[in-house]
Amino acid sequence: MLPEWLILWGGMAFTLMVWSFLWKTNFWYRFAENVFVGIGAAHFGVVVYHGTLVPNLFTPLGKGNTILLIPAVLGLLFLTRLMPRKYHWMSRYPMALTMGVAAGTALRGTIQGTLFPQITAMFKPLTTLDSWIVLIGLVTTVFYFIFSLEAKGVSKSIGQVGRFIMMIYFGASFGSTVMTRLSALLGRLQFIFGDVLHVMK
Amino acid sequence: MSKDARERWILYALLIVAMSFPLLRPLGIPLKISKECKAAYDYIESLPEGSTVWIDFAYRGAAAPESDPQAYAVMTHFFKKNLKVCVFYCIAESGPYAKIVMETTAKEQNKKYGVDYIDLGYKPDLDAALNGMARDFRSIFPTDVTGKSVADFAITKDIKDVNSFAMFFVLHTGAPGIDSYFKQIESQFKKPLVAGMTAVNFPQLLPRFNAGQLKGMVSGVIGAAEYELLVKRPGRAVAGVDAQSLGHMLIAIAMIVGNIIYLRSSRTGTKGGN
Repeated sequence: MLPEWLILWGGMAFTLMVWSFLWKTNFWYRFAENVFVGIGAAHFGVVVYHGTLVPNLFTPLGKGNTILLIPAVLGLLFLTRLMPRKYHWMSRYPMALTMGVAAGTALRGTIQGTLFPQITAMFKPLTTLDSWIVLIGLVTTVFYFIFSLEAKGVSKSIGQVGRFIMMIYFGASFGSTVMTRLSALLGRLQFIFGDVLHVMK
Repeated sequence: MSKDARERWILYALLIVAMSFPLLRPLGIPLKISKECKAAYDYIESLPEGSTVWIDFAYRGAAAPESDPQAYAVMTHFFKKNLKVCVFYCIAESGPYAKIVMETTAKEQNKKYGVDYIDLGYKPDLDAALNGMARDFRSIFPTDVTGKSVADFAITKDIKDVNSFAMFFVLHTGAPGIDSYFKQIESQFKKPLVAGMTAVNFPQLLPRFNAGQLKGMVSGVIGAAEYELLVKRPGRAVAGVDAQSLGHMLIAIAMIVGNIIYLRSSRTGTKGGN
């Protein structure tokens, strides 16, 4: 276990190395980047081995649950991508199965979990200004994406209202992005002033 | 140094100064609790004591400044309410963050591992993991993160499927994240969902809250600060509100000034707009 002072000052040094990218790409920035990628990959490998392969595969196999050999072999077939090109076809079987399972699990949930609830939420009594804004926003935005109709006259005007509504959303989204990026800076400043230098009030 | 680079550096320097100053000398800018955050707090508050809840630490280091304070505040609330907490993470890197938050808040609230909370660890492919867990908990989670059977822990010995959980809380930052919970948990099993999220995700998830698919939302550092105040555990988020506010102010001023310069230079026909 590393001493705490080394972890803190090391963290601060790596923060400054990454910030040095604001000046220009340099050796110290690339060093920090490579260390981060290396540690991340190693950590991921250890977590997957101990958290998934051991409890969900090796232990049940050891207890005689031999049916798990099928997903194990399919998983290993993915690695044929690392072999010479003539063996690559073998990786298509687990890939096809993965895609099929992903599509199957996602499809029902996407319709039930996104499409229907969001459409249902649109059908509200038009008793408030909010509900009118939502209705106008929805109709005009959908109208903007009707490409089979030539955009001129009234249809162009409706589409432009939809475009305006989308711009408001993009503005809100950009504002939120700025908030998140500033939070990342805030986190590092709190680390430096609070954890390392102990000058934060 | 070019003019562009110099102007960029002035903005960086101003931003660091503006955000550092309130950390060293707090300004005490008032904070109003948002209705989305209050809804999250009220929903958790309404759960019966002893209920089992699920929390997914779906964030990486880049989102930790926003998600960590949210996690501390929400875990504190869970423990204060005597809820049983199952901790899971759909992103492998989240493990160390979850462990620190879990152990710190459990120690503060005098809670015991295996009885009041458990670390279920990481599982890949969130959709498949949730789909399997919802039908047969132990087929996906035979052990906790240390490799001990979940049957040996008081908190998990009676958990069979999704119906054993009173609520799901997701600290969402992107994919994998809360979309899988909408698809596999909320829509199919009608289980309540509450989310903490980075501010950038707030506009995308607001329609879900308005549609009743989310019972509450805690957004960004500001949301975390609101929740810290609600659970009476002021921490890093409350301390950062002043800095965040000054940062926003500076960016807004820079955008206004930048646009004025751009408009003036385009009117006079000179090159500008940087």
